[in-house]
Amino acid sequence: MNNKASKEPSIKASADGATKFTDSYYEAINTKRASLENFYDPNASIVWNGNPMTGGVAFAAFFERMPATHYDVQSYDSQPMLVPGTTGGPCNYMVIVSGSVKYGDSKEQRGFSETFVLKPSSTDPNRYVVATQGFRLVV
Amino acid sequence: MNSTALRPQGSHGGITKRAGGRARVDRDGDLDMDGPSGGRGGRGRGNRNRGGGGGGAGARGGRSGAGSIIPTGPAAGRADLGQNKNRGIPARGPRNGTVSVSETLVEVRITGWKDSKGSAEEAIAFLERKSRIKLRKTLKQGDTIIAQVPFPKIHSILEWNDAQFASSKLRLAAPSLGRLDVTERSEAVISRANPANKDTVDTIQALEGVLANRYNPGGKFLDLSRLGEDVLLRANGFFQLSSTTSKMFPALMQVAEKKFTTAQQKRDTVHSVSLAYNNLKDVRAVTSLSVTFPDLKNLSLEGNSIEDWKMLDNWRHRFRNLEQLVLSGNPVTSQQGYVEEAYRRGLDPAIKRKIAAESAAPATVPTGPDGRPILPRRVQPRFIQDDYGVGMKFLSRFFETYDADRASLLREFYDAESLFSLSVNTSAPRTQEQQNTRQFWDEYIPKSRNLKRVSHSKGRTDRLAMGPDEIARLWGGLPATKHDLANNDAWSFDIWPVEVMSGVMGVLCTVHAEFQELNKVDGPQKIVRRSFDRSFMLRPDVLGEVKVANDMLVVRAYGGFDSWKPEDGSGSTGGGGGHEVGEAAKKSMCEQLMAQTGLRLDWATMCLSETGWNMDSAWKAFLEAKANGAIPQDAYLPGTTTTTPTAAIGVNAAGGGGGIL
Repeated sequence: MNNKASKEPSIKASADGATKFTDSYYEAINTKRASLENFYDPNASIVWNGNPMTGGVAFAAFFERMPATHYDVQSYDSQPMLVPGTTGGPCNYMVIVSGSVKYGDSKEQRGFSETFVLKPSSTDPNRYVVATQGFRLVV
Repeated sequence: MNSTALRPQGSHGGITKRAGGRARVDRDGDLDMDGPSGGRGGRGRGNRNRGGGGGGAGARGGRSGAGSIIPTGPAAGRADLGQNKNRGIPARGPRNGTVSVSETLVEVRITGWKDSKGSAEEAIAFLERKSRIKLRKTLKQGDTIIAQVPFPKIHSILEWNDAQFASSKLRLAAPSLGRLDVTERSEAVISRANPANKDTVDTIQALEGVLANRYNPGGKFLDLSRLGEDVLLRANGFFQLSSTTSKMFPALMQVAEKKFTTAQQKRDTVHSVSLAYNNLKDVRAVTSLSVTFPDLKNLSLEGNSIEDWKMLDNWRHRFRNLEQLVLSGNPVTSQQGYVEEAYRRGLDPAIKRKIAAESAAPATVPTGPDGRPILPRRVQPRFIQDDYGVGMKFLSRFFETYDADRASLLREFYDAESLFSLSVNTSAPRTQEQQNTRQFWDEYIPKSRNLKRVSHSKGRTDRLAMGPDEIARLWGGLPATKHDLANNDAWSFDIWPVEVMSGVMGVLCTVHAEFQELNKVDGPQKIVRRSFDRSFMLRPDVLGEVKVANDMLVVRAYGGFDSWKPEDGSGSTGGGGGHEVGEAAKKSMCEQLMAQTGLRLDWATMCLSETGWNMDSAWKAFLEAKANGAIPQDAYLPGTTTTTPTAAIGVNAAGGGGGIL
């Protein structure tokens, strides 16, 4: 257990970071698309329903063309990304989200699954940005 | 495996090889160009734009001959040429009182043969043999041979200008070409557009139909996006040959031109044009757009393969009244300094957004045939960027083993810092049949780490298993499962490289599929079907072995597998070949096939392009060719042994050497 205890701060930070991230990210995607770019690392690798994209600018431009969306996060989980032989310091977080989404005027609820890798921003190490994002409609 | 690997594809040419370009001299000293496209109306020299399916022809041209998986070479094109050689151009009756352009003969003047070792007759024979075009009414006049060629063939014969002939170069010119009248030219453009359909009238009707279908009078919007997927165009035989996309567009514009007689009419009728997702590398193929609609206000080139501002500069000034140019989804937008450059050119994202909000956002969202809103990108097949097959190999081993022997997976892939957690989404959308069935989650809830529900620090820590022992305990408390690996369609996975931490590369695998579970609460007879999402982050351990850094499982009610079925039909569930498949999807399919077969990139590309970019067909073709001994050893990546996969993801990854991550 000693090993896990030593990782306790990372585990807690990744959970808190994920909560903060999912709250603000899905609010932005539903209502403030103009701010989406700010969530991303400039080189973020994104795979959206099998379509690769690079960076928040590209993703935000893509999302501008989306019909209105209503995402509802139903569950999420987060883990720190640990690499043996490395010590201390902030690590990246992996977040997995499961939920429903409605597009446009449609009443239909689709299921989605989304996986993120969050990493400290290069300009502000206290802020976490999306380094990787994988999205699939799953229902 | 680097962070640029995910940049939009198409700019690197890694996937497709272009035919042509390099000329070589054969044993007779004859110039043998790598397939000028002969009877297809000429490739248009310097035209770098290939439309849909262009990669196919490129790969074919790039490697042909013995040992090929599928008979190589553009057979359709060859048959076409043969016919012309034997019978000349099929005669066509007059239409609307004018003589069909295909009957018009154009004069070709051939010089340069005098300096050679050959005679005029030999020069004529040489050209006819090489071009497979019959030279008519040949006449020798001093050092010039004068011949006649049907108009549709003129560009093909002119491709042989500068051809090496008996120690000299032949010069070909058609001085009268510029004097042909406009009607003839436009008709020639149209007839060239569709070599599969010889009747120009039909072609015009088909193109008129396409324009009518794609014009939205309310929005004054002509939507020419995704032409490669157009049912009407396909039904009329467009895109059967790789070169026809670039020919089709000018023809479409000619038909549009005929519809509107005055500039005012065009100005009033069409304000916006979308050319999105046409696989355009530059804008040369659609130059005719600026001629037909010079007063256009909005133009979308979204989702093409435009790499360079230079590709646009020559073109943009032609549209003097253009207010909005959408370039998102082109490689040019990933270039450094794009935002500054866009601003300088008045394409600042803020301006774009403003205009897009005003002009593009429709009150109601258009819906597809399934009644669902159409999203700007379609669902694509598995995205797999797995250079050494690490991800495929892992997933294959993991899901083959998970049901029966979880302990051996823990030994093989999990170390002291591996993490596993499970979260249950009890309210996830589900299939219609599942709507009214009660779901039992009793065996999962006590272990679920859904952070939305579990807020105490202790609970969060306790439910995160670290190291093989804790993970074994957690897995041991979960119901027994059965994953069906045989149903390929039921599995979705995307694989790509990701930085685990600064300087340490890993591989992310995101999986969506289903399992059956023996649900004890419902009694031993009851088999419950569940869907799950599972993401694995793979990383090296201190010895460089592949280990799981993160294993995150979401269990939810059964949701079926329709949602990841590729919408362009290019996936395993798709029908025949010839679909418009994006470059990125092609690259991903190549990677997947390479991982499955151990083939080198050029062979994997060829195999896929020959089978219309359909994974299943490509796999079958590979097996067939392999069984026939048609694949030479050098077609494989070094050190590869190939075994037949036993299941959907039961594939043998290419046996890459050490240093995998």
